[in-house]
Amino acid sequence: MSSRISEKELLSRIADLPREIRPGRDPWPEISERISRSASAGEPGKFRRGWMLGVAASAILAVSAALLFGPVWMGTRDVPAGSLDRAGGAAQAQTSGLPAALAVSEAEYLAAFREFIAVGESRESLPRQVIEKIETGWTDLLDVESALATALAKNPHDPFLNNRMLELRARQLGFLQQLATLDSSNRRMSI
Amino acid sequence: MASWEAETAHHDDETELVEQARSGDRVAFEKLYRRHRDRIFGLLWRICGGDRALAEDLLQEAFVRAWIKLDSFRGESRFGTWLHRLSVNVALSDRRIRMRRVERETVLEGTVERTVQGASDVYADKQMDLEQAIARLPERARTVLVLYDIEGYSHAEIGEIAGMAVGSSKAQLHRARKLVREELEK
Repeated sequence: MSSRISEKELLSRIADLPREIRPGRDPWPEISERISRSASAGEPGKFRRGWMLGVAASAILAVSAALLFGPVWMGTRDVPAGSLDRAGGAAQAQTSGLPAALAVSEAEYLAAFREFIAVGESRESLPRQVIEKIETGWTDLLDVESALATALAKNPHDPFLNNRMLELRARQLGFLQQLATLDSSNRRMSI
Repeated sequence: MASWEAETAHHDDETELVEQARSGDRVAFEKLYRRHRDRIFGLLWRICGGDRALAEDLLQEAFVRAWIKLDSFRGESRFGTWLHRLSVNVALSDRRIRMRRVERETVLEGTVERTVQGASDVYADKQMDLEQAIARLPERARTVLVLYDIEGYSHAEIGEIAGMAVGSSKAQLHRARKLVREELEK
């Protein structure tokens, strides 16, 4: 014979259920073995930190490249104060044979770009949003590159344009290095 | 007062263990595991519908993920709260995979039978009929009942974790309680 159970009674019985239940088998040996394996690749959280930093740095680089360089070739913004400092100073840049410096930069950039092709191998294991961020960031840099190249074709010895191109290459190299970090982190995570 | 002091000392001790584990100390991490194991197992066992073997697998998975993600624990909540949430995510992501598989194979009856047998594995007392009734619930209804009525999550939190609207969570809870009552009244 059964009786009706009120909601209050049901909730009271649920509240009496034990929150802690001992497993029949202690899985610590397996956990210990697995974390030992992951520890051999670094301390806890290192994968994730490298991965997140890679994504964040890629996004920051893309945005900062667009902010710094985007308006420059359109002549809507003055040269950012810090950017010329890093190129060695405006006065020195005007007299120090920038096309040669640019040639060295180009060679370094092309070498890094060849390594960039390997990053494509991990494409399938990257989340779609990450790939979109990377591609958007890279496309932004290429847009800037295209605009600078067009301007440099008309004025190859313009120190301002040469400085901008050197700075762009530095940013592209940084971007590629971040991608390489991201790629190696991703491979470690998928092991 | 003594209870408050004990609680504070426990929290300080746990913060230290988390710091040690974060720097790679596996002995400290094992202490954390021993401290939280039964609580997390109870949660996972119920979400799994009383399938002990699966709950043990998920327990293992939850602590391995906790170790890997320890760096992302910022101490804004208690370690136990963070671990609990992480374990729910582990269980739900695993269930989603299983459910897709089960739907393809259409062997739902077998799943129900297995969960009921699992319930009798763990403990047998006057509450076992209630545990069995919970274990027999459909997956989503059971998840909501376990998280809301047993573990104290809000509908908003359940909605976020389980990927459902707040209204759906409330509806599933209503359905789950009704089904459990009907089961107990048989």
